[in-house]
Amino acid sequence: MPVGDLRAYPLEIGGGFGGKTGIYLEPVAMLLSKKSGRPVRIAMSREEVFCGSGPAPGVVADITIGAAADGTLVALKLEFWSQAGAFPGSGVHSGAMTALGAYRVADAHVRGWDVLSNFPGTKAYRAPGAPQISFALESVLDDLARKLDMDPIDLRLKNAVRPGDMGPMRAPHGAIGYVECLEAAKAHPHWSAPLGPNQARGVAGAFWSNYGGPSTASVALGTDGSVMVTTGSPDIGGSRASMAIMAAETLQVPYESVRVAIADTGSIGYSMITGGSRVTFATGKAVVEACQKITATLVERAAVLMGAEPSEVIWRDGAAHSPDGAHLTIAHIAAKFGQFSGSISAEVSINPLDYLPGFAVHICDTEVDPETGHVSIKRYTAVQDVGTAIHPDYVEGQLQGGAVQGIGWALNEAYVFDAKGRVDNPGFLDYRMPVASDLPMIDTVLVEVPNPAHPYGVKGVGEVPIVPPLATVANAVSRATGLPMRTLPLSPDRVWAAMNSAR
Amino acid sequence: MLVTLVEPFPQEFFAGRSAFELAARNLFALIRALDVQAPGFADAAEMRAVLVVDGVAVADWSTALGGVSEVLVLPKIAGG
Repeated sequence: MPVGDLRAYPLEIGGGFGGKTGIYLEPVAMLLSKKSGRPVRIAMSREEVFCGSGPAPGVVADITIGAAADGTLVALKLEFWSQAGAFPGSGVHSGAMTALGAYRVADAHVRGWDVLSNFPGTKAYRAPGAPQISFALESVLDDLARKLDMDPIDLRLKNAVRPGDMGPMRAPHGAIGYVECLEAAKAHPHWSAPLGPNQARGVAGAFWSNYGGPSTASVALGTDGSVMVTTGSPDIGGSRASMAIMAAETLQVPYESVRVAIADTGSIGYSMITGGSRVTFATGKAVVEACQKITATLVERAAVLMGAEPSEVIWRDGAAHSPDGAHLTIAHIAAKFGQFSGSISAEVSINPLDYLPGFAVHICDTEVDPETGHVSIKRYTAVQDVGTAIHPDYVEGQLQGGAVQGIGWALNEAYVFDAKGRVDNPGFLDYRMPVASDLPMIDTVLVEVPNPAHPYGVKGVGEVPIVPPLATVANAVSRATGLPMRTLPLSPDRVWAAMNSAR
Repeated sequence: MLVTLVEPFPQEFFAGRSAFELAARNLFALIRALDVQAPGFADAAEMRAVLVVDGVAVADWSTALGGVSEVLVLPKIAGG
């Protein structure tokens, strides 16, 4: 079937989380529809979602780290085996990048294996491949800090990558903010707060590469000067609000006058998938460039209307200002569309690769029940380099959501397989996710180190917050129990068994 | 101009060789030159490679390479 004959209509999605970057039932529905000549809808049951739509891969890792007596990292050797299931593609590359992205290490050797087996295929899940490897790396860093009797944040500060350092793919890091995140974490009151009985504090850092890539945006003015922004990037995390903010800022008009729509694939140029923490960066950049074209047209038309040269006209506060003090608002100019070549619109397609990676530092206080092994989260703080937070509330929500998902991985979440390799816990009664009553408020610190390649300094923020929680929680439990925590999740039976085998 | 390829491209297309000294007008020409040495590489590169010119990832392959000292050919990484 020609791709041009396919038309995909985006719907509201509560969150993407990577798993929705692939397709499952859509081709089946399409073929059945074609065969029957009728609309076809297929919906998975919860059990089918668990069994058939792909979990994140489990990983076994063997890691050795070497350091000088002052804590300077000198060597890293990591080999890991990632469970791809029946088909290859379990995020091995990004796992390897995670191991190499955050720290200066003089000599590093990382090898990842994409292991195929007769299990359900694993799929992308928010920063695919990264949390598992970060758990291995940040756990041994914590071991090292204890061995050297160093503050664990100081150890990370000593070795953290700075702008200009070589990145994991041999391209130098740009304006990154890992050091700023570590400094903010150390200065946060959480880091020095007293702890109660059976409580301990863990910390871990994280790197995620983010992405840019192709995006298309269209901006059109209504005849009343209202602004319609259209993109091809489904809104899975509040990106429409961010597009509206960037459009309003660029055109210097009120946020309320901007509407954002997500077009179907037959109504706008190509945009890459909504994933890789790319939309606010790449699609946002397209929106800004389209608004800049709109502004240029507004200035040209205003100049004609005011009898001035375009170079003399300044766009300010949603209006064109001429040197003699006259001005025309966006509404005035837009209303004159009949006397020009039509209404005002612009479409921009771009392919930016000047994105920058995200860095995060999380702090967690856990309390371990010595009788049951149950781990409760008493306090949690997520610090992240967010570039510029276009919509700070939504950015904060990304940090909190990522932290909670990672806490779930750390404490409870796991697929259980029966002897035949089938999922044995395909439902939320047996697959334990954290709920609001399990958790304290997730405190956030937005560290803003802007990306100079984006008009407003945007960096991707959605994925990196799931990377550090696994090690953050495990490091806290290790400090509470005095025992290494090498296997996740840290379910009560596992923690209880570890404590009792040590007695 | 040094052209450095990162795995899996050297093993998959160039019998393990990862470094070449090449002259090319732009990135399209560079990929064509590599394709001469390993037929089929150009098609694979379009789908799977990211090109980094003197430390900066470049999306536009018509970018001129005058004065460039190194091009890295990296595999694209999947996101989520």
